[in-house]
Parts: sequence; structure tokens; C-alpha cells
Amino acid sequence: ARSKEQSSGINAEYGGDGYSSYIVYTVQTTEVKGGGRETYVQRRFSDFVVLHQLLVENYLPRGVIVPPTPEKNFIGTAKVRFGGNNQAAEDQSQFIRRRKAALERYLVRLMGHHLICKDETLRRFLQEEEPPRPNPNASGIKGFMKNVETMVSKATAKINEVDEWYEDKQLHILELEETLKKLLVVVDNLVANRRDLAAKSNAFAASSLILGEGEDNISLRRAITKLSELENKLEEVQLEQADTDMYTFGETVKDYIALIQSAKAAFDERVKTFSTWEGAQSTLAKKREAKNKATAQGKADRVAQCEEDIKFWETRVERCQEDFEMISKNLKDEIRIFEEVWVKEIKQCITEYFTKTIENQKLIVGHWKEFLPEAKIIN
Amino acid sequence: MMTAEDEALREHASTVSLTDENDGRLTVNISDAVSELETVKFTIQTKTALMSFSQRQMSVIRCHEEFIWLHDMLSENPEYAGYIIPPAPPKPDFEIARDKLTRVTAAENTMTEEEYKKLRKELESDYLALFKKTVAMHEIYLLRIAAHTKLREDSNFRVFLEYSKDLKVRSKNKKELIGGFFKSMTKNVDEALLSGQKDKDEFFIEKKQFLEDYHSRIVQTTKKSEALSAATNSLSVDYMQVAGCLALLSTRDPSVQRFMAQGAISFETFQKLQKRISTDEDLKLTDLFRYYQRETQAAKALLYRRGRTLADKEIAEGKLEQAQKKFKDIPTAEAYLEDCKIRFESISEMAKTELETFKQRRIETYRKHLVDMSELQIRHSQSIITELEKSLELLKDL
Repeated sequence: ARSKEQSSGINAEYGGDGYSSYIVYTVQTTEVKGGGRETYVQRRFSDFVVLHQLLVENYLPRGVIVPPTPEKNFIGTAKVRFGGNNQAAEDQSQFIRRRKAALERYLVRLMGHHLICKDETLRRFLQEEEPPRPNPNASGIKGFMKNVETMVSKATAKINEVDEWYEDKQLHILELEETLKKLLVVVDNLVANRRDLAAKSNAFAASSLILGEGEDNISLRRAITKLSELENKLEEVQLEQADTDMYTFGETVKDYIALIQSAKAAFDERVKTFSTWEGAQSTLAKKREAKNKATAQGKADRVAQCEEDIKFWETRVERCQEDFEMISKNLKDEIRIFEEVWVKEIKQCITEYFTKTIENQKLIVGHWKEFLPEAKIIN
Repeated sequence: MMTAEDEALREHASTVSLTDENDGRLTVNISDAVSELETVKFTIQTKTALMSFSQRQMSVIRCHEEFIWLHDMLSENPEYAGYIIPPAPPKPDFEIARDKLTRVTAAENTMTEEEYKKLRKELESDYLALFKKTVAMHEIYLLRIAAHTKLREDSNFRVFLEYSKDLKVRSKNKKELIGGFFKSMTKNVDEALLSGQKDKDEFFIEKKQFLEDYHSRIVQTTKKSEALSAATNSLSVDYMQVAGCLALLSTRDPSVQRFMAQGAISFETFQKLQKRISTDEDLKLTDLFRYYQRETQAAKALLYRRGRTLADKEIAEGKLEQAQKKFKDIPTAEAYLEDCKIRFESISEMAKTELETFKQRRIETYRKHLVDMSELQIRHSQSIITELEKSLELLKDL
């Protein structure tokens, strides 16, 4: 995994503190500039989740599409069964492989993001022994104020768009999400069926071995035994291909479905920002009204108070407008980058998938070619 | 309306054959078949130089039950007790395929028009493949009889091939079915008793052991092979669905339109090739084991019949001893014993030849099927490689 400044790789192993065992991921980071210095840190899955929360707090309000962490468990895609004797152990090791690969991809995306790659929290995560800790408050002072205003002005969720771009893009992204979800289901089926095929090849190999042993003709015995060996080899290739189906194809699709969730969150954030702005404007109007009322009633100190309030809210309205304009601009940039990366990655994904498939098919051809002469010399 | 694919399938179906021992004096083939509701009607064409037939060329229409009638006639003929009676072809069973087709038709509204059309086409081609397979199975049965120098002379076989009207053979009614069941029950009991038989002939002792052992092994292998073929087949449906999703992506996302369209094409090709891989595996491998499971069973039946005549001979020997002790009815007993001896010896001799040819036939058929299958699988995998390499070239520029 590489970015301009750092590259990262992850190893997974079991750790424990006597109460429970969990998986410890050792994250290796290499500085590409500056002499190739290597750092190793130990992280648990929960540390990744905390990192994600901190990044969201920091960047989502700016309209950044923050790459999501892998989900807590892989339920829903648990159709992957190997069917071997050691089912539980096999499932466990599959799970660890998937999670490890997913965490690697996650870090790659973080380091590939033009803003996030420079983030101090990320640097601390990668290079300091102690992982970043979550914020003690829910989301800090700024967030608190924001919450109040959104509560007040939650009613308006519709923006009178000057620029149709935002609505169009949102629809487009939702459509993409729907298509990718369909594709994921289909790829998951492919993986499960292929693993099943491997298991059936194994069973057939076992019984044809027995059949070969029962043959009364020597060349036939040899040929059927070779057939059994062939099926075992084909089984291995199918398992390889199933991994390709899953990791090269399926996981990419999955990542994008999750990224689209983040993109949706960014759009929602923009709407929230707009609501906040509207809320502030409506509060300002109320304060002005209150001042007029107080003036009409001749209450001098109330008027003074109102004037202070008005000044405060005028500033706030300005701030909210700036926020909204900033988030709108950032979101446009983010979506543009998202689309460019999407095109690049999905093309790469399919290309890699085809390339690996070709390699596997060549293996298959090789195995059959090895068997053919054995069949020909039967007599 | 035969597409290129249909032609290929047909060709494959008819290469599921025994080796051709025919000396050309009697050639039989199924030239056509029609599926009508519950039955399949086969058109059988015969060309012959044999004098026993009334014409040189003939054509008749037969249904599956008539094949079973022929099989029963041959099985029950005591003259053929020393032969391996060719196993009857399995009954055409389109139920599963028909069910699937009905279910898909019913679910038409849950999918896009594209998906529906593709799924239907897939199922229709499955149906067609099944159909061609049952034709092949029935044809092999006739070829097997035609290749046997004695069985081909059978008068019932001649009637089957010649008689222009239908044989008015009804399916076995309940009574007959139950009768048949009891018959096979007693046969099983007999077989158990006979298994304790002291056979003096090494050849047959060995053969019996071999056949019983081989039969149980091949039963297992056939099962596993069927499961394997089904699993191979299911992948092709998955490829079709991936192709559908990529096509959808192509229409919805202009930025990857041409790329995904090409991707979809590749997956469609992948699907077609996977289908061929699975069909060939089924025809060349699974059918091979299915057929020889039945043949091995028929060979076991032959040995059973021989065992019966041996038992009869021993009983006759016992009866003669008794008669000699009592000085009563000795000639009858002697004649009866002579009769049993002749039957036992003739069946043993016929059986020896049959079992030898059975072994030969098996070796040759296995060879042919395994070689054919290897060559086909290599060809299909190479086609996949070619398609994907071509695709990668195109994708570079899209």
C-alpha cells in the first residue's frame, strides 16, 4: 500500500490480556521520502473505529467523503462456507484474512485522500505507540452548538438549489448504489457456488480414487487414479479462483457501497448546514422583531439586550453562510475526485480479475493436458 | 430451428456411444424425437441386410414404454440367460426442468425484461440438452442390441424395429408392479443364499467378487459425479447474472459505459463456455458412470442366473442320489440332472464370453470418454483464455 509519503502493510495475530483473546494488527508504515524509516504499531479493530470517528468529526462538516472502516462483522456475506472438516477454523481464518485485507485498503484510502493524508490524528495512529483516544464529549463544543440549531430548524430539509448539480449527483449516486448492491449479491453467490464446486470436486476425487482401486485392468486403474488426482488439482484452482472472485472483485464492490454511504452522509451534512443557516436567519428575524416590540413598548434595557443579540446572530448568520458555501464547494470537489477514483478503481478491479482468471484457466489447461496421455494409453 | 449451439449439443449427445462393433449388417439410429406432454416419441430408422427382416429399410415411432417392453422380453427369454441383457434406458424425466421453467415464468414480474429473457433462454437450453440426452440413451440401447450377434436376431427386436403400428404396450399396472417388486425381493433373498454357494470355477468366483465390489464403488462415484456436474452447471447462471449487472452499470454510468459493456460481453461468453464445460462433463463423465453402473448390475444379474442353474444342478444331483437309494424313478432323475448340467454348462460358457467382451467394451468406452472429455475441457478453457485476453486488449482503450 503506497501513498506519496508512506506505505503501509498489516499483519494479524492473536493477542490477549487474560480475560479475552482478540486480534492484534501490526501496522507497518514506511516513509517513502526521508530515508525509508519504518514504524511498527500494534492496533486493535476498535482503535481503527476510534480513528474513523475522529476523522468524521473533523472532516465530515467540511463536506469530505470520509472513507469508512470495515463493518464490525461480515454477516450478510456469510455465505462463504468451505465445507471442509475444520469448518470453524476455516471460517475464522477466512474472517481474519478478509478483515486484514479490508483494513489495509482502508488505510490506503486514507493516505490517498488529499486532505486526510496530512492529518495529525492519522499520523499519530500510524506512528505513535499509543493510538488516538476518542473525544471525551459527544462531539465537542462546536458540535453541541450545532445540535441545538439543527433541533430548532430541522423542519427545512429542502434546499432551493441554484445549481441543479447537487440533486442530479445525489440521484446518480443512489442509482449507482442500487446497481452495486445487486452486483454484490451476485458476486457473493458466485463465490459460494465456486467454493461448493471445489468441495464437490474433492468428494468426487475421493470416490473415484476408490473406484480406481477396484478396477481389474491395470491401465484403467492408473487412469482413474490419475483422474482423481486431476480433480484434486482442479479443486485447488477453484479455491484460488474463489478467492479472486471475492477479494479482487467482491471486496472492491463492497468498498464502494460503503464509500457511497459516506458520500450520502456528506450530502446530508450539506443539508444540515443549510438548515442551520436557515435556522440562524429565522432566529435573527425573531430577534429583530423582539427589538421592534421592545422599542415600541419603550423598554430601554430590553432594547439594548436585543441589539446585542442581533449583533451576535448577524455574525452567526454570516458564519453559517460561509460554512454552507464552503461545504458546497468541498462537496463538489470531493464528488469529482470520488468519480475519478471510482472509474480508475473499478476498471483496475475488472482488469485484475480477468488477468488472474486467465492465470487460473492456464493452470486448468495444464492439468488436463497432463491427464490426457494417461487416458490415451488405456487398453 | 437449430442454432450452432444446438448442432454442437447434438453432436455431443450422439458421441455418447459404445464402440461400434456393428459389422454393418444392421444399422439403427434415432433420427427424430418429439416431446408430447407426458411422453416422448422416438423415430427409429433401420437399415439392414439381414434376411429375417421383411424390408431393407424401415422407420417406426416408439415411446419409452415400448423400449421397456423390449427389455422385458429379452430379460425373460431363457435362451438369453447366458447373456448380459443390455440395461434399459432410463425413463425421460423432464419434471425438474419443467418445474424450473414454470417457476421462472411465474416470477417474470420480479426481474427486468433482459434478465427474464436470458434466464428463460438458459432454462430452455437446459431442457433441450436433457431432451437430447434421453434420445442418446435410447439410441445406445438399440445400438447395443444391434451389435450383439445373437440378440440382434431376436424376433421381438425385429418386431420392435419393423412393426409399423404401435405395440399397444401399456405401462405396468399396479398388480404387475407389485409382482415385479416381489420378484426382485425373492431374487435378493436368493442372491443371499447363493452367496454361500461353493463354485468350483475360479474364473467365476473371481468375477463375482469383482463385480459386486465394483458395483458398490461405481454407485458412489456416480453419485459424486452427479453432484459435481450440478455444481459446475450452477456457475454458469452466476456468470449470466454478473453480466446482467455489468450491463446495467454500463447503461447507468456514462463514465464507464463502454468499459462495462465489454465486461458484460466477456461474462456472457464466460457463461456460454461454462455451460459447455458442464454439459460435456455430464455427458462424458457422469453418463459414463451412470451407464456402467447399469451394465455392471446387468452383469451381476447374469452371474445370479448362473448361480441359480448351479443350485438347480446340485438339487438335481441330490434327487438322483435319493432315487438311486430308493431304486425309484432313476431315469427321470438322470434325465433331469442331465438337463440341469447342460443348462449350467451352456450358461457358464456364454457367460464367460459375455464377461470378456464386457471387460473389453468397458475399457474401450472409458478410454474414449476420458480422452474426449479431456480434449473438450482443454478446448473450452483455451476459449476462455482467448476471450479474456482479447477483452483485456479492448479494455485497455476504453
